[in-house]
Amino acid sequence: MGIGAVCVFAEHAEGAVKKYSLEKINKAKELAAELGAQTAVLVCGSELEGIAETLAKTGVNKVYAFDHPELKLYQPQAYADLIADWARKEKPEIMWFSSSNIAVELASRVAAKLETGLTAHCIGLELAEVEGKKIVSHSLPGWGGNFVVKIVCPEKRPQMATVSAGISSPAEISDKATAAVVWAPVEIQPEQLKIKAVKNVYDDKKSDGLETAERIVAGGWGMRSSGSLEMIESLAKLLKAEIGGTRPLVDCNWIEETRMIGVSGKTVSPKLFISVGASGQPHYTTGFAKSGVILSITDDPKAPIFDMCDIGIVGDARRVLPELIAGLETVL
Amino acid sequence: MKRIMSYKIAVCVKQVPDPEFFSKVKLDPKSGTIIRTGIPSIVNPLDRHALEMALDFKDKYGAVVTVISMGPPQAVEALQVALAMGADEAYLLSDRVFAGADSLLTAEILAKGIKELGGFDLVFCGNIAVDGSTGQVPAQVAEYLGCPHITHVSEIELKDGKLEIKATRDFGYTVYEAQFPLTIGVNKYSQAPRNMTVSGIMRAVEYKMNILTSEKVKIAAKNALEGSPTRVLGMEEVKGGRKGLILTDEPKEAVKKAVERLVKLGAV
Repeated sequence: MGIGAVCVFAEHAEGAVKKYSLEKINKAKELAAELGAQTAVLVCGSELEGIAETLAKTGVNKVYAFDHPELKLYQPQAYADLIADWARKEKPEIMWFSSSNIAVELASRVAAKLETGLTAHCIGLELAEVEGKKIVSHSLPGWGGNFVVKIVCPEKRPQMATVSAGISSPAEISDKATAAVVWAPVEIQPEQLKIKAVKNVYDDKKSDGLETAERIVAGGWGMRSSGSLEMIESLAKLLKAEIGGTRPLVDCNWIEETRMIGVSGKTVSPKLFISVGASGQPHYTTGFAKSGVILSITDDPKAPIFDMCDIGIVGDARRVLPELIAGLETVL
Repeated sequence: MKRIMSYKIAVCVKQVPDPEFFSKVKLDPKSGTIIRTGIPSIVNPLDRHALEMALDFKDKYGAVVTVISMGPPQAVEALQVALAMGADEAYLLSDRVFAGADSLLTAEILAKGIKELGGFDLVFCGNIAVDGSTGQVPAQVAEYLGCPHITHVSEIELKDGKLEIKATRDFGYTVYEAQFPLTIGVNKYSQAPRNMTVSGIMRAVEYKMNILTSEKVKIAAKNALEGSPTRVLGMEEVKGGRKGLILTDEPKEAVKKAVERLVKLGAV
């Protein structure tokens, strides 16, 4: 009997599949090819025809859609029960989720239900041979960026992980659907749900998903002079990056609370993180230590941030940023 | 109005190395584990938020707040901070066989400890810890307790015997309605964690700490490393943080080199 499928739990919003889900689908196809396994995508929600069709065109073998009006909003209890029940029946080899708020909590509950291992916030996924078996080696930075850790789940199945954005390029959507779409039976007794979503509230100053962003530009205390935040905005716009910042900037109302990065704010792990005008106190840097590539610009050559970045530019951000914007324009 | 209900609340707290000293953490090359000795410890920041939410609930609606921590003997310090902030009781789950547990086994141990104490109406956890940072424990504790969970919570309110909850999302938040019992992962609470009081500190110092070992909280495996489904395959210390290319040239030249490197690293 062959091994089970490599599966991705796909997320969607406003009729579109999330880019980071397409990235994981692409990675799943890559690893599945090496393993000789099938690929599957799971999706939950309501009125999923369009989403399911898109997913069926990504080159996976199967799409399992859990479609029910009660699933329109994320329901912690219902989603976890459905996914875990599916996994018990279909016995996948590997299951990946994103690192959005919803996905981390869902993956955690499902992993506990299946009593299997879940690795968090992976920035790398590859196959490694352990005790004669090809299993997934999950890469993650540990300890404020001072270590790289490789985690495996040698025995329990499925091997589960929450995966950062930018793990791969997104899967291409072909013209024709090549996957079979299975409309999984969903039976929900509303009165049995002990926790129920009531409504979504959309903030005007929404953070746009810092936690799942592929690129982030963050400003620190050194950026508080007039004109500097505009430069950050220009750089972010050019890179199609999200904007984040440190606590001091939040405290003087220059960026929203939801954009704060650090131990008591957001923990992010984008492919590219640019820090501007921050010295790199650990409460801040711990929040982005899991990033792929870190570029830091600040004027203090002794700033601790230079110990944990991949590229550092010592200089006045107000002089460096215009050059950086010009320089990036030539390569983007 | 006299309160006739007193809710039983548990708050899970974790003692973590102070992030100020992360750069001083060393790796034991033999065991592949982190050497924590000599590194100052703090209460995990989000656990303070969780405790504040619990204490605020207690102030508003009436509750007995018990803090629980799984850790080595020195984790007692974290529990003492919680007592000094206003927690009523404290329990340390400590045993050599618990050491090195991954998130799933940690959740199992915490849940068993919670059950050993008679169960609770509400269990609060900080959403994520600064060391290890999986963010997985709250939902997994809930599974072992057999109760629903909700994480990234920023607000809770009691309305007609039910809980109304705000859970942070990337677009804003989702409002949930839930029954008791419930496990809650707390994100940043709208209220800043309160300080310890002088009388709280005195009480904490005199408090006879309750310790639960594997005698009361049994795990199936011989030890935590065997009982955890995930394990470390390898660990590499990145000397001095990442191997950074630090540029001190004039902006134009520095940017040129930086962009070249960004392209080489595949970041753009």
